Amino acid sequence: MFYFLAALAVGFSIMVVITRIPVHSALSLGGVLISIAAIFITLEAEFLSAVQILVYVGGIMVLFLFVLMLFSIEKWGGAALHTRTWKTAVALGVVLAGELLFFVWKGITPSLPQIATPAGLGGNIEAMGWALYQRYLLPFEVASVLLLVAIIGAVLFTRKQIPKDNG
Amino acid sequence: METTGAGIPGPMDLIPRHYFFYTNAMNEPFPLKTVADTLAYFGQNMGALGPELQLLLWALIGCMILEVLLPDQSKRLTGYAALGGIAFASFHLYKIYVNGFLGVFFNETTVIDPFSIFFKALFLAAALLTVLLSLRFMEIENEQSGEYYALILLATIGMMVMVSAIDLLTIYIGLELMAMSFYILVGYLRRNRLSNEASLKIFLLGAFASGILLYGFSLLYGLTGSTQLSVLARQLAAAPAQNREMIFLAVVLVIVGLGFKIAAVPFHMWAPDAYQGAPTPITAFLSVGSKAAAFTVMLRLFLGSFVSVKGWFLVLGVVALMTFVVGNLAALLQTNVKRLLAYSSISHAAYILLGLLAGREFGGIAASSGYLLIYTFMNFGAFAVLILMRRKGIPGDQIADFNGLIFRHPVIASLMLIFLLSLAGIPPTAGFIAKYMVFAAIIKAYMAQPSAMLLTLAIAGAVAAVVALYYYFLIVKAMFTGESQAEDLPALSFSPGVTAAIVITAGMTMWVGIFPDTIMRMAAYAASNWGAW
Repeated sequence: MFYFLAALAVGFSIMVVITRIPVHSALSLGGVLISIAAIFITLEAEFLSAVQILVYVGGIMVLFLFVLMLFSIEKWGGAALHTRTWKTAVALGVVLAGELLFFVWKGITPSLPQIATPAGLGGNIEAMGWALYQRYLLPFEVASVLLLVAIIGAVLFTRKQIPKDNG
Repeated sequence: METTGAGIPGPMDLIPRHYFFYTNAMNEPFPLKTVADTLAYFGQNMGALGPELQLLLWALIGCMILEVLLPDQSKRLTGYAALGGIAFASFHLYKIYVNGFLGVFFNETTVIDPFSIFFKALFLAAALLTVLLSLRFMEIENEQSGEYYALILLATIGMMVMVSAIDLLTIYIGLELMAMSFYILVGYLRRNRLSNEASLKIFLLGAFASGILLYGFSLLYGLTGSTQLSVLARQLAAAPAQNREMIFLAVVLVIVGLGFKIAAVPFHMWAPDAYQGAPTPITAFLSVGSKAAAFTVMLRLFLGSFVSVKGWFLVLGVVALMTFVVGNLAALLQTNVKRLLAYSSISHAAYILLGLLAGREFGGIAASSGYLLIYTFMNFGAFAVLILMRRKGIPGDQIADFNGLIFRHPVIASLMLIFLLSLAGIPPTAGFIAKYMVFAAIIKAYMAQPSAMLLTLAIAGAVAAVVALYYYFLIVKAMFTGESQAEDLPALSFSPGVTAAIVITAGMTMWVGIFPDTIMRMAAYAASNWGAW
């Protein structure tokens, strides 16, 4: 199962870079993200998988598509998008792959502590809820203030009327 | 908010108490079954948040709602509301201090200890000075509005959450709240291209830094199974040998993430541009508040949780050395006073790092805390003078703008001289005391455990102080000997707020310089009962 999903993810990510039509690129990226969400389910991380789909596929991918539609990117001419820097990209990719293979080969395996899975709670979504509203209540509340700040910022910077400068 | 209750220890009793509603092991649900339970839980824990809640209340109701209700010409009132919020928050903090309301709250995610009380007072002082400096400045820039003051208060809340945090998650959320407010404040002058550029730079680099910090935190969580700093310390000390590389990697990532916030070299690239583009009061707030908040987290992590980790000392030592070299050499070439002060702020970060590197046993915490408090006053003083120079149509932030200031405004020029002497560390100003505390700590550490790194750091610090003297005196030279290029310059933009800020900062700079024992006692208080939770 893992190999099937992993192959799917790798296949889609190759599609992201080789396709010449931006919309196909974006849709393939969605494919990558969904395959990874499926891998999360096989790892019994239902919450992470749900968030992956909601936030990345539901939110960010749709935004990408909106941007592509609004800017009618076809005018750029597909090929020009990925010819200039491909040599550097391939070199970096080879280095990264080599690095990963080296560490897999050498096999550095830190001994990880067993993180207690809460018993008697229905799966990790419910456990997440307990953690958020009880143990991490304070950070959770502060996060709401953080979001408020983000909203203020977005409103401020996108407000149309800029008062006249008389300074 | 009620901060007193039965069995609260007196001011001298520094033993923290745990305000728990339950004492089960982690991960088990709390027995908060009824509404009454929940209310009791909040009642016990909310007292610890008094100052933060006050600031939040005044930011939302005082600043944001007034902003909507007030006509354009009286927007300045929102600034007074911010002052009110700071006054009430200070009162709460004072009550917490006097009542000795120390302890661990919210299930070991936040703590009230002398260290956090000291730094919360520092943040409130910085916020107060920022608002005082902004009242007139934002009018000149024609950007007076309530959100600006609300964001200053919200950034202060973020800093307060950071300094009280003893949990990686709380640290991170506090840091983001502070950083997010600053991204907006830096770009507040929307008609100014420099301000836009500054905002974009600090936003992009800050977001990367946060990401890297989060990588470090998640590795730490993976390796220890906990986000609590005290558990982290225990687990890292008992970690098996094959985990050492991973732990080191996590710690380096944390250094990178926090290095951005304190603007240490090589993570300082954003600082000069952001400092130059931001509204000047925000530049001062950014260079003091953001730096101090990140340093509190560094002190808690490196002298608390990471003491058993090998290798971070060397990494931070090299960072401090590079910061000395680059910060001071780059400052020599500046012609813009804001940029010059930005590089000066970078090199001050290196001195504060010296305190951290000296370690806890040799008074490093007290030295760093005292340095940050003194730096707050002298740096705000220098920026206050810079704000006086900003007049309608005149940016007033080039060194040449200071030419012949002594002949036109002898008092202001003399005060600027005091602030610059203090930044350079010349007695009898406060800056000397700050440098003295840091050097005393590092020399004590060297005497106890001689190492090449400590010696190099001490020498680098001394040499850097000499170099720094040169660039601060570029401004002094302009003030005293420079020829004023124009005759009919408009008067400096005096206002009650700026005058009050200058009086406070100059008074503190001289008073601390002449009577250093108070600040030393305060710094010792900050370092007392360290990590007892």
